[in-house]
Amino acid sequence: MMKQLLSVFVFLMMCASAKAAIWTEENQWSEDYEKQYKEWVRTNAKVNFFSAEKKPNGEPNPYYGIRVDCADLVYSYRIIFAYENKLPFVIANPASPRGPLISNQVSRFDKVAEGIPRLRRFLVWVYDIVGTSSLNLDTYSIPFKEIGSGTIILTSKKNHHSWTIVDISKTGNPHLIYNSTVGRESGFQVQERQSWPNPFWVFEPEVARDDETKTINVYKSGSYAGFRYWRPTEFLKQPEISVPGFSDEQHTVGLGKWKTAAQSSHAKVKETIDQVVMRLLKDACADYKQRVESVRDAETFKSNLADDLAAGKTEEQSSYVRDFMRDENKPSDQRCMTYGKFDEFSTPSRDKRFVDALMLARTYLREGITKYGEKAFAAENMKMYKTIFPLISLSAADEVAKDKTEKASNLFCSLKINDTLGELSLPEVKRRLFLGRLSSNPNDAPTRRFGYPKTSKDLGSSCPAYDFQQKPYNLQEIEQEMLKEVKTAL
Amino acid sequence: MTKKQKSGVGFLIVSILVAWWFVNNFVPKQDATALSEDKPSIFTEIKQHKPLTPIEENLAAESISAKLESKPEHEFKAQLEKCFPESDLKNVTKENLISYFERKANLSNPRLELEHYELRTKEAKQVVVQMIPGEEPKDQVRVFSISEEDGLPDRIHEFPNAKSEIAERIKGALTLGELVQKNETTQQQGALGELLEIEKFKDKVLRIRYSEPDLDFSCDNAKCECFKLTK
Repeated sequence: MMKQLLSVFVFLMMCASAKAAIWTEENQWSEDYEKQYKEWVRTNAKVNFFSAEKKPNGEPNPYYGIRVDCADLVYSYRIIFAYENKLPFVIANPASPRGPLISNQVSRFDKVAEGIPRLRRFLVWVYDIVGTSSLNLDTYSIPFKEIGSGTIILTSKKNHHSWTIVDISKTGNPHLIYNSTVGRESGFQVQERQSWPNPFWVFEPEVARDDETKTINVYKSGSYAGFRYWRPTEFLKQPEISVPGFSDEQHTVGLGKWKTAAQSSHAKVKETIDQVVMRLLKDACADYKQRVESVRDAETFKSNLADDLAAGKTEEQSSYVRDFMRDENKPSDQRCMTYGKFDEFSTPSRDKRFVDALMLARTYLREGITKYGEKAFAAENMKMYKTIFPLISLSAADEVAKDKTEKASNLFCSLKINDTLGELSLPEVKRRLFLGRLSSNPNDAPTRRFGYPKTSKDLGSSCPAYDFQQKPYNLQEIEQEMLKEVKTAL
Repeated sequence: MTKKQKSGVGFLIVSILVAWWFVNNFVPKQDATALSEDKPSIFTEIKQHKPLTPIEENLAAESISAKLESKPEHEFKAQLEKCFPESDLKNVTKENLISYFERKANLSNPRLELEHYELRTKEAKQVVVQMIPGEEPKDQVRVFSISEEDGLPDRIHEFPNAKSEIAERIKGALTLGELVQKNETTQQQGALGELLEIEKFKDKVLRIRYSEPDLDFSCDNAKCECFKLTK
């Protein structure tokens, strides 16, 4: 009897004091596992990785319902692959550079059920700690030839964004997967695109903190921005140049050649000029689609907040009210966004990327026609291109000045803005965008956000705008920037 | 029930109580089932701060007391010569190392890269506040509580002025505890890709890192090291 009781006691004490990892490592990273990781990203990193309730084989998706922003997504793939293959996951500790590393060995989630529940708790904890600013501590710069599935692209701190390369096509173009802060709020599906990001955006100079008129060059040797891959654990606290395979090649080829160098390193077949223009327009269409969703998210937020405030809900009853009331700088006019929400839902950076995407497509089309003639393009495609760029022989600025005709809603890439406004085509959005008529201010109504005439519902000019200023785009300057890249590529 | 059995049952009850007490006092509390994304907050806990005792102050001072001056001269010089074999290093000392690099790469105007504050709450818990100037607005001020159990961070999203502009956010975050230490990291950038990064506590240098496109020289609490890129 006493023996049994003693056993029970010992068992209870062991249960109470046992420390368990998030998962137990049975394997170690090796060249072979790195290959497997890249292949896993190529085949698994789909936009519905977190949004599909079931896996293709019909089993429940254990990762369904996880919300990620851009850096979270990058870390997720590495963590989940490590978990599924019983490999260690170790990264730097961004809160305490001299403190312990973050790893799957943490025991703080011991009381959460083993397996997926514990992994999910770990993911949420890691997401809270990491960000684009910590990605450079966990990765290193790689040469162009090493770019492929699983490679990370990190932008300068100015734009704080990151992508993971899923695959590279035969024409040397990437399939990128990523998410954004707004995307994180709106659902579980992440986003994708099929072109290299604009290097001028990837390496956009940082703004000096003490003098906002000064900028800090980011495209330089030793830069943290650009193509990167995961560091082996033993190199986490070491200088980046000591990591085997480190290369600064991408920071020395020149900004204008960065993208073409990446593409030509992997291209097996040459992309025709027609394919280039079509691909870039598809990317612009994806940018447009994301903007529509972003504006919709802002409207949903405004409407929920207004409804809850009007219904007199308390902070306990509504997260919207709680968020609003706890904001130290909440605007007295409760129809305006708080500083935090304004920052989250305003779209100046997104809109500039949209302008860049369209301008790049236009520059390729214009230079392509000059170099190869219109016969280099399929007639059907050329007809569509000219609906977007009707005066292609002119500069973009001149085209905007002379193109006064509103475009139909049934042309290329027509998207529904909302029930009231109906559909708007890419050719018409491009016309309004280049005219500077699209508002990036989330306090404006969807009409103004998409370049319709101003109404009394547009509160952009009466609400606090913090540091935001809607400035017209310098089309001439943007076109010159794109021209440098296109001339290098053609 | 015999007397022996009775005492056995009593022993079992005591054992269970001891185990229950142990679990409640020594094992970190987690919700065993929930998968919610609850964020830790110490906002409400911190109203008044327990002043640091002289012992704690000494401990705090000790934690940053590792200085370059304490490193053996030969180790420092050997690593420096490894990185810069062509240079005349005979007059370079640990004391004038920064000005040596500044002259070498024609560097000026240090730019703040990171402010790292360590606070102690009235419950003697450690809080870290980071101000990262170049980060996106929502992440420019990051606040973490450091677990006593494993030394790892938990992000704190709710703190005074958490949704205000940067200067107010920092002020609010710093009310979470008594300031124990503030380290500043600055960077200076040269025209040919040189970078000098210095981490300081008050006027004490904690870490120096100087890099050129193909080399990286650093000195910190532990050691001085030179890495050269082999092509």
